[in-house]
Amino acid sequence: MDFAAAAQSVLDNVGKVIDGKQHAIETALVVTLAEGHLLIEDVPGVGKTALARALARSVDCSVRRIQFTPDLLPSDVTGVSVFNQAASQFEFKPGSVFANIVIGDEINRASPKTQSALLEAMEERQVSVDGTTYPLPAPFMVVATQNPFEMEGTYLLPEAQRDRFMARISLGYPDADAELAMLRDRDLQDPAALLEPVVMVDDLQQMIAHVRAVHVSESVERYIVALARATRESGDLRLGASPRATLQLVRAAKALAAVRDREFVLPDDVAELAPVVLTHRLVPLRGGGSADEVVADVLRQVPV
Amino acid sequence: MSRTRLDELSDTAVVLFASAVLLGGFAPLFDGTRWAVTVLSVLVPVGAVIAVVRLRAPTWGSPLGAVAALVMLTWVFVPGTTVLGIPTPRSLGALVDLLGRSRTVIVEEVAPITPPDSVVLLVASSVVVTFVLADAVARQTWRVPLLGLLWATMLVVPSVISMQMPAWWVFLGTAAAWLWLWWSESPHVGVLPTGAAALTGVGALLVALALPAVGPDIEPTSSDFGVAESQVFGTGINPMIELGRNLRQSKPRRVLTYSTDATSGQYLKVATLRQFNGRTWSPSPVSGDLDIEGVDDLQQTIETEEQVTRVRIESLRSSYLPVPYPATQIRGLEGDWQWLRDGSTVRAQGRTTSEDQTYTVTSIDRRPTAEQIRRADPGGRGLDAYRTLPDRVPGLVSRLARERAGSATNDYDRMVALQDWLRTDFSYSVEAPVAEGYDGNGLDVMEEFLRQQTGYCVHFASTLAVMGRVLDVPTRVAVGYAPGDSVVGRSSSGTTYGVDSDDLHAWTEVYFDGIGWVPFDATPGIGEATEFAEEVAEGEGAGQDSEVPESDARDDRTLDAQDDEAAAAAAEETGSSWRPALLAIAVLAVLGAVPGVVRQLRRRRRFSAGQDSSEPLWSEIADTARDLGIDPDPAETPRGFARRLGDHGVDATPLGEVVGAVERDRYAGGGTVTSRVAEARQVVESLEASSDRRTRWLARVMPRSLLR
Repeated sequence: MDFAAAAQSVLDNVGKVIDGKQHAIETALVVTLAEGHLLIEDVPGVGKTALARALARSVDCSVRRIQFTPDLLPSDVTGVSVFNQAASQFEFKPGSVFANIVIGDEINRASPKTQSALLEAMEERQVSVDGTTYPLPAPFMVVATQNPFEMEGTYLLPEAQRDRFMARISLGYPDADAELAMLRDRDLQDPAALLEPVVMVDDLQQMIAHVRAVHVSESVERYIVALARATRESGDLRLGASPRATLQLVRAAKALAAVRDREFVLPDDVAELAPVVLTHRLVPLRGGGSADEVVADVLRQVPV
Repeated sequence: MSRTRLDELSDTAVVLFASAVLLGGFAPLFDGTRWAVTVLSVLVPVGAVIAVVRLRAPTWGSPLGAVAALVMLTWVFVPGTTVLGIPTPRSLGALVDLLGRSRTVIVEEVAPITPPDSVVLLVASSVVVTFVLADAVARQTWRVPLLGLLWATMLVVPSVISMQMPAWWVFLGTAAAWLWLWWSESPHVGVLPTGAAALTGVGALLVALALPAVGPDIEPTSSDFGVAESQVFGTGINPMIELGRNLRQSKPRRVLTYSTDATSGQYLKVATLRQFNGRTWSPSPVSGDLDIEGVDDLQQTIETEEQVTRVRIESLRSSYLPVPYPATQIRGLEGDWQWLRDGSTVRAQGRTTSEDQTYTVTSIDRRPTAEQIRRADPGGRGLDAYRTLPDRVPGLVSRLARERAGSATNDYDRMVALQDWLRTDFSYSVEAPVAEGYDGNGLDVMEEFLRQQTGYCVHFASTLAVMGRVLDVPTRVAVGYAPGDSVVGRSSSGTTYGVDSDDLHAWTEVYFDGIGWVPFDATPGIGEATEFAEEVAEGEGAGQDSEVPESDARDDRTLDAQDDEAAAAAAEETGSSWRPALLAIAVLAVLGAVPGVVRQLRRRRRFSAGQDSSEPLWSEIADTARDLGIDPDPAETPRGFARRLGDHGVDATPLGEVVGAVERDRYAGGGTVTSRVAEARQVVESLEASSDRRTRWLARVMPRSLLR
């Protein structure tokens, strides 16, 4: 399997559905290949779910979708043990999380309790119900969408959970041409429903293995650590980047290098991904600069 | 990193500070501190105006500063020309006039001088202009290197003129201000750049090495006899002009008194001028070790008498001592003095001056008979230097010399004839030559003098000397004091005379073998005409008094420096006024070329090292960009910097190749290295081509990358 060709085919496939958002699509693929979870945050109706669905459909693997609502129970996510009278024993009914790609729609509408049910699954790639641990399939990825928390009926995603997403992207409104194209294409049908998978699940596993082999030089590692430390030392933040953030930035950078057909990571890859990988984990001080500004400042100041 | 108003203000303050410190560099040139106070009283208000204006309207700082400078200069130097304190066109004219007057002082005086207003104005205006300029430059990208150059010039120029290294505090103060500006420009660096320190060190070393090497060439001006006190006995490159100016002073004052046991007053010689180049007289080195003063091989038959003269200096500050000629012994001097064998003059070493000295001179009065002096061998060995004339002596001078010498058959009679002719047919006037526009002592002046038949001692002495040389008689010009005609007191030990500043005088000395240099004074009304008595009874009285054994004469010289040869050579080298300036320019040019050469060597080294690694190539590209004003950002990746270079118009293809190689070298964890030297060269050329000519030129002369 040719990595670059496979990656390009996924990008093209998803691009059929989402017009003019190549950068967001590439980031989504990068997160997939880096074994991370993706958070898509934006106002309603700009194609968050469409992107998640298109990405999922491009890979021939199991896909489940959870629509988060305030009354969704944790067991709906993880699964539940029920008594099978015929077998006279408890039987585990897997929840929606048991799939290669899980689409969590409007994740911040769920109660914190339900949200945290996802925590273990995302980090440990396993689910524990009634003292028994059930492993999740590999590869496993959560693509969550959410509206900005200021909007009505939403809960702020806990910091611990935000930290578990490798990257947060937003799509933004399409430009005029893209919106016009969308009107014509999707007037009668949902293009996402028509997408054919272009990559097999085995191919995806191989691609992930390829990404792991990408070389990261010591100077790039030092650069990443310096960036993380700089956010911790920033006077505008209550909480800087965690060591997990550092780790995920390296992984994402490796995936981006592979997608760009390179066997080694450049500081440019790191700098390009730093805003999407770091920003959502940082907690600004009241009255200080925003997390976006802090990341931009850090990138401007930390020597390569 | 945006600059706040506080930064701007502190810049102005630092520049003002540096300007004030640099003022200290002028200290060796001037006496006293009045001039410095005056300059500061102009400089500080201008600085204040700039600072205040900058707070309100930053762009108006420099223009209004310039206006303030003009107003302050007017108030301080030509206050009478303002209307209600506002400068008028008349003030401008007055300032220009005053500035013009400083020129002669600068050309003709030898440091240190007590500066007249014109010179203080010159210093004040140049310091204030430099300050306003520096303050404006301090806001530009190139500010630090430019300021460095500006200030280095101000440091070097007074040093070259005065031949003294700048005081340590001047150097340190200027360097500190400069480094501060440097540091404030790049606060994120945090430490002082080692490159800058190294370059400063190298520069200082070069100056230190260069200055002593050029020293002897710069120092002796044509006359160097001394230091003026309140412009009484100004000493300049052209002592003759200076002499005239002093004679024209309206209020002469007492320079010295001397008492002597001689029967008449003594000529007190200060300096001897030997070389005549057509424009002026100057001392020059003497060749051979002939005792041309004739003191040591005086003919035994000539009658001599030892005279003792006690001189007390009243108000002369000079590095030369007025002494009777020829002196054999001097006692009572304080400080470090050196006997110049040639001309038998006495010169101070170091800071010693004639001020407040009292000393006793023993000299020989030679009294040959007219017969003896007529018989003196006119050949004279080793005296060619005293017969040399410039190529073009005006016909009038030669013609009159031959005409007036008449039918005399020997040197003595010829010179006496010329002397008497000048003394009787000509008149003495200090003002006439100036009024008629022929002041000075060049050949053209001499011609005019012969036509007008009026002038003062300079013209007479110089003309008689030149006419003597026309007749192949060895001559030279002596400068010093005429005997003085006011008798202050008499006692049994001798007569005391008072010598005033208007007794300054020049006369001619003529050489006679076996007798030595004999003074001839051709100036009407001053001193006495030289005329030796005709022989009455041959041989009588001769031989007794003239026993001045050679060895005694030498041993009696009790001065500190005995190395007459070296002293004479060092003291009497010639030089012209343009030479120090030329040397200063040469030193500056060499210093200025150093950064460019260092930069080129660095480039060559990197290209040769670039065969094995792309890093040196990348450093070279980054430095070239820096030189051209495109600063690499430490937070920028090679790719990011390359993108910026591309925006600047650099050829993208070779640049991409080099960046690719750099990235593989840095981040790919080993692998094959491809030499990209050719591509790097293309990038460097393309970079230079994409900049305008001025930027390219600046990059060559002042490569900023060296200062990192």
